[in-house]
Amino acid sequence: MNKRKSYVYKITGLALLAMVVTSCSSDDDDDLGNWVDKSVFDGSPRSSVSGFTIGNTGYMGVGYDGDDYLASFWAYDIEGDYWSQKADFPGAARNAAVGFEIDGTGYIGSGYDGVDELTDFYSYDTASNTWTEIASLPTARRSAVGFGINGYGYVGTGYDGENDRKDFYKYDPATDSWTELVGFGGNKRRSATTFTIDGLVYLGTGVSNGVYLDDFWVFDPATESWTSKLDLDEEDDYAIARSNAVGFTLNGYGYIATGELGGATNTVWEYDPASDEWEQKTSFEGATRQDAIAFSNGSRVFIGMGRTGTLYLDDLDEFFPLDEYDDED
Amino acid sequence: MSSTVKYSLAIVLFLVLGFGIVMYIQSEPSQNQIFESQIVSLDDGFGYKILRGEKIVIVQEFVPGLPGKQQFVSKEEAQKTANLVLSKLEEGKSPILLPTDLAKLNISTQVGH
Repeated sequence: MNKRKSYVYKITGLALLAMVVTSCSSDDDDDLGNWVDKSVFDGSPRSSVSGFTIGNTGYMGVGYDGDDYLASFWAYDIEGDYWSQKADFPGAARNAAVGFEIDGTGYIGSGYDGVDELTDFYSYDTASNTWTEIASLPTARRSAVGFGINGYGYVGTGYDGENDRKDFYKYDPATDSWTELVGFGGNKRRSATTFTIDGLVYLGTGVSNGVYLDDFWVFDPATESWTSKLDLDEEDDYAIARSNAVGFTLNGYGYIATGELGGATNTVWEYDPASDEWEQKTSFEGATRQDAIAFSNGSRVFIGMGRTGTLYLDDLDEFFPLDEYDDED
Repeated sequence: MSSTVKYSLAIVLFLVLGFGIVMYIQSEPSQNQIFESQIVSLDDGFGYKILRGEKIVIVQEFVPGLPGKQQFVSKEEAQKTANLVLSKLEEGKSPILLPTDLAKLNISTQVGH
């Protein structure tokens, strides 16, 4: 009897052990990488979206999914790593619009609805989840650049349907009006990129008549003046020129990532404003893409959406530049 | 005597079954995990969460697409909206809800917006 009992215990014990061993089977922890796959924006691929980051939330909307121009508008919670669908963009569904933030309010406007380049502009209030139409941009365009700084919005360059542009306009939320801003010395272009470091806005890349531009500029909002920086082909090993890239800032450095250069690219370049020099970083690990979007709250950055050729992408990756220094050492 | 054998057989069968279930759950690739919804009760109504496995992918505290902060007026309306999102995701479609989707579902919206 004792023997039988011990037999039962042995079987039970062995089986339990087997269960424990299997349920503990290791989930391979990903190596600490430079790019970490984050929330998948499930099944909603879109490119040429527009957006802005306010606090710890990235806002992204409009765009084109290969079939339709989109009007839906979403918020990505950086801490919680999830999405929420917000109030629909009230203007015509469009892509290649610009988005920027001024003092906690988001703005999206201009762009292309599939037929025409557009001028209309809207502000988004995050607290009330409502859109308000504001004064229209004086001239229609798509694939422009837009940035908000020192309480004003600036929109310039782009394509008006016939020509690439080099003109800039300044938006004053206090008077709800646009005024032309003269003084940009660069060439006309579309699909350029900007990033902001310590209150200065850097502008580069873009394309015009099939030529990828390699001039690089800094805008000082205090004096509203543009100053030329070293060209993007200054060093022989630079391969920064491109269009449809994303620009963002992290820990005092500027970045230009992904984009289009005779096809989608996933390379990443880091700009040091102190030395006016560029360094190549580890390439974006998600699928190579153009017309993506970057969300950055200053300490973390996420890149997602976009397309490669005619395949539209829906993933989002987080970029850890400090991990790259270790890799390259 | 035979009851001990039966007992041990039953234990073994039970454990084999449990073992199988654990193996099945673990072998399921994460991207094939089924989407689920959770209805959440809020101050002035209801919202929903969409989860894939244990991962929250969408949190919807307000009726999607509508301006302002309109919550679902009933659990049922939140549930049928979440169900539509689930069915879109399961078909590999975008989880975007269009105004026409909300109209088809007869979702109550505040007057004056």
